[in-house]
Amino acid sequence: MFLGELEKQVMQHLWSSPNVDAKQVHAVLARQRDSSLNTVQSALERLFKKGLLSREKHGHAYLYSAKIKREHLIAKLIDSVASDFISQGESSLVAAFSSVSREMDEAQLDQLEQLIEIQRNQLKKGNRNAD
Amino acid sequence: MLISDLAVAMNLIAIALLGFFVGAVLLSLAWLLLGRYVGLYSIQSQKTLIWTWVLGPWVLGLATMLILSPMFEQTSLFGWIENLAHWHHLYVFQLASWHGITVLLFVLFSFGLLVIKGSQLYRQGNAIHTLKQFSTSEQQTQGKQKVLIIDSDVPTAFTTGLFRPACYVSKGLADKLSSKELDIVIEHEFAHARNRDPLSKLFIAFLSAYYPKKLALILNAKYALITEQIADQSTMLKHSAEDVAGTLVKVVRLQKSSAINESSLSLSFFGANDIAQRVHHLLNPTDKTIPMIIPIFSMLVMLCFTIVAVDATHHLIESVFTHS
Repeated sequence: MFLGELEKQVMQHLWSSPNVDAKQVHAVLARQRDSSLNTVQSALERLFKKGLLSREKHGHAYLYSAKIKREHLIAKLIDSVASDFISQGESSLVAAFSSVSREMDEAQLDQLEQLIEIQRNQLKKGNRNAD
Repeated sequence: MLISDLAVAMNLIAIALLGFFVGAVLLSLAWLLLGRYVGLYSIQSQKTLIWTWVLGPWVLGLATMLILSPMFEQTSLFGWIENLAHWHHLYVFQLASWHGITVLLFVLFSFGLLVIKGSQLYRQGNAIHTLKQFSTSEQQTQGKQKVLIIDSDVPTAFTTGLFRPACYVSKGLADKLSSKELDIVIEHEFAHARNRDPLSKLFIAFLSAYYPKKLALILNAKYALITEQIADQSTMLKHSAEDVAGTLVKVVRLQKSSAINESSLSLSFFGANDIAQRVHHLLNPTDKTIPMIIPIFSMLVMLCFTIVAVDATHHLIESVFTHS
């Protein structure tokens, strides 16, 4: 998921005010940056094609809304950053604390927890004997 | 046809490449035989071994090139080297020969690799940048280092950035952990940042890409696991092994339950084995180190073999495809 600077600003704006057309978006963003109506229009078009916006024909213009919630997009971004690409034949360039796995089932996790518990108890016993 | 200095340079590159390929084949075979024993040694030894494996072909290629170069021509060593191997047309290089083609292919492959890794980095940098912009991230400092808190329910913690690595923890994870558990997670991420693991992983990914794909995947996964285990170890200055192992299992459970809700979360193939290995290693650490003399001696033996093999392959190919 690659988002350009303008695209990010458009998303930010549409989350707070849905159902707007290109002119309205342009009017708001023109205060922050110097981009023509055409550029804003093509940014909206790109975001629509990426599946991030929905639109509805209203008279001559399209009214755009965010199709994906902010939290959901953040989750997607986290996923693209933190997930291991190793399974897809690529190496991961981040160091994540842990990664979830298909093979790791509840039973295996229970087993690991039991192991930890056993070791804890042994240590406690050892300490008591030492006292 | 090139003659003189440029020809020498091109020939030396061709020699280095041939040495590189022979070295890669030797080290691949060595992994088939010995790879399974790597896990028996301490984490630090494992790290040294993985680096030896990925740097091996480069070292062997360069060493072969140096030995066959004109550098020793005036010395007494030359006679001895000449007996062992030689490159019979050092001062003539034909671009349209198998040497020219191997050099060209190698350059193209390396260039392609740079482009792929570069675009991967660029995409990731963009995702991080977008993430920072969309999620009102607050900072939490601990001494010199700082953690960025991502405003998201997805339980996650990671470190990214090549030259100035930054640590991120999501609210979704921080809220569900006790302060002790959160401290373990943060200490673990700080260790990644201190060790510059994202950068070293990039080097390993780049260098191992010249091996057969299957071996490259194993080396990368192994190295990733080693960096995790080193980070686990450094949390043990302040916490017990059982607490670190317990936190690890808890975080995996949290991520698992959130993955069911978020169907988008892609799953890692090597994860299962990794978590179990990390827990086992935390509970029963091995401190068996491998003496440095073993990898060094093995490399010397392989170097002799590489030099002879480079000479032999050269002669073989050039007598099969009669070359001018």
